[in-house]
Amino acid sequence: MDPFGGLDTLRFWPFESKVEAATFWSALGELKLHSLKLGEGPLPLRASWSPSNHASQPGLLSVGADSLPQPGGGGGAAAPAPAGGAPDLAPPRAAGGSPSFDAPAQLWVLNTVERLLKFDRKAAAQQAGDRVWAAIGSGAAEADPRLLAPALLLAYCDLKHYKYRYWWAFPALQPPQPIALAAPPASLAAALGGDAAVAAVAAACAAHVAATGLPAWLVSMDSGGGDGSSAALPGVATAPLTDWARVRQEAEAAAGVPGERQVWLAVADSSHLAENPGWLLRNLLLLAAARWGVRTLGVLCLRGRRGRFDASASLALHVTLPQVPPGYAPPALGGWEPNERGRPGPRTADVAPALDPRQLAEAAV
Amino acid sequence: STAERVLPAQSKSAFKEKGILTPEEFVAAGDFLVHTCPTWSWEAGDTKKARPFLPAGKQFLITRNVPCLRRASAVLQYGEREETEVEAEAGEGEGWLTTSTAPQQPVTTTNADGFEEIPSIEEAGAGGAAEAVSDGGGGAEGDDSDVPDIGDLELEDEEEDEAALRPAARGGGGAEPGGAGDHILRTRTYDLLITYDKYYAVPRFWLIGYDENRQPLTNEQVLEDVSEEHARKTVTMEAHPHAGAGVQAASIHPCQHANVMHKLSDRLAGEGGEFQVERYLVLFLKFIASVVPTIEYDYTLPAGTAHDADEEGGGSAAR
Repeated sequence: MDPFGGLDTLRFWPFESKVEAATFWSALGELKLHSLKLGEGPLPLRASWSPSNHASQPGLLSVGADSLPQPGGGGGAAAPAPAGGAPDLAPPRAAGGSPSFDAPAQLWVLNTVERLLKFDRKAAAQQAGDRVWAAIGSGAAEADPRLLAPALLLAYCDLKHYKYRYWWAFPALQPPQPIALAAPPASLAAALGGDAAVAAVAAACAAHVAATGLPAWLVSMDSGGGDGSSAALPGVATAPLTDWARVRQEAEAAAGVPGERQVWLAVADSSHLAENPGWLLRNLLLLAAARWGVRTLGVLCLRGRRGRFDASASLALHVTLPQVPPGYAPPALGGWEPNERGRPGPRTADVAPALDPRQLAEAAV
Repeated sequence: STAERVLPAQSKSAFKEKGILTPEEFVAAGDFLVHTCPTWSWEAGDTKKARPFLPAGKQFLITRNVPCLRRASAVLQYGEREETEVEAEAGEGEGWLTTSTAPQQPVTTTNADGFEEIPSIEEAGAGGAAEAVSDGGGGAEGDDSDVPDIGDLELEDEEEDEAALRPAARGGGGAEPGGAGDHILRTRTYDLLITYDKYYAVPRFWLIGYDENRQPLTNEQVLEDVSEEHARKTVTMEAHPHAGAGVQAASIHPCQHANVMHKLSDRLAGEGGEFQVERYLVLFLKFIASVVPTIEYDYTLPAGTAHDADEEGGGSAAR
């Protein structure tokens, strides 16, 4: 355990990428060869991520063959997506079982390794960050919090050797001052008071996500009773982020009355670590600071086990948010994923063993 | 899959007699699995590759990013040794007399004709060779340096980001200075697929592996996670059912599935319970667990015999 003493900068666990090796790379190779040709994009990419579902495993952000735009749809190289245009998100999928959420991702398929290395990553990250900031300002990100987790993918396809170099970025906006922890991270049981409350919250959250398909929402509940022995379940309610003002008002109206209502920001959490939330929360907390003007906030980071939200694996945080002055223009960090050795740089996927006809012929003997 | 194109799909229910499934029964069993075990989900895959006898949105079942903490050989060390003894004993049939307690000892032996034989070097070194093989397998996973890389060029680390928790560069201790690195366990992960094999009329199980850095595993590496007695015999590399042309993936060959499933369901039925066809895939996954013992997918549902294999997953979930 970290020796957290009072206020400490909240640190987030970045997304980790996974490329569904054989399917995505072979489809991308086809796309580059037959449709994109010398065009480099950016193309819209349908990446998706899931909450952590295992004690030793973060939820990964992954792409597969169906993440790519269908060839022919965009007219190939002749009509790359407009550089400034935000990639579209499909309507949220309301799904039972283990949820996954789309991320607005963009793909550049660069023609040479040199272009990959010299790519203006800062500018691309800032563009993506600006889109997030615009979505926060307009309220679009409250309506669809998936917009808060943008992703960029640079790729270079060595089609001859079935080798792909690629580099993911998960841009994050910087708040005026760091976001801090007001108290050490706690378990849901400690934060909500009692197993009945935890179970009710977990069930309500699962139902909310299944119904909306969105990764962030609000939870309000009566904190009354508190001794855990009262048979009555606390009145737990979930609401979309757009209802913040209403939920907050209701809570304030009930303030002072015994059994006042707590309001929590809840998020599907890709991190599996005991003390650090996942990447989505980072931009989301800036939204809370800028749009709602709150200075302290309780956050529930919900994680899954065996495909269901599991309170025992989840995390409750109390954070202190900075004041965001009007007209603030947040600089964006790229959040470029380090390579296999943990250093800045692109990764390499060598899929020759699964794709190269010569190697396959040898292996088949 | 030529046979798949030509032959009609199984249309008559025969899972009780033969352990096989019709496509409709496969879908029903898949629905049950998805319902009770939400880590699994249906997928449509590539529409161009859709099998007409399955619903468009239910072409195959998939569970992603399943951790695999250890290699199968590490778990089955004991069994492996046993196997060499079995082989040594099998040798007896051909006239070898071996002291089964210490088969590697270079003692002279007497063959069936009464001649004294000096064991060949290969024979004596068999145990050592096996160790060397597993050593090689273990070493390969950490050693990716043969892949030439554009390198850690002087890419200026432009971002000082104190709010991001990054694992330290690997190879240099690995622990995160903040201490949180201790909790970051790098494991292999698998995407597991279940398709319907029309020719054998049974589910077919596919493994697509990723190493600790989410890079695809080679076939050889995948075989490290398959139990010794199944590797290379029942696990084969085949054309991926839902990927582009030429993509290969490891699959458990389905020729014995019907047989095994028939026996297992009989045994369950013998224990008193009526075996429902909906539970076919749950039972099937229990059988698969013996082939890939260290891949921790969720096979903990009651298919009649519930408790086995639960301890490990439950333990890590509880932390």
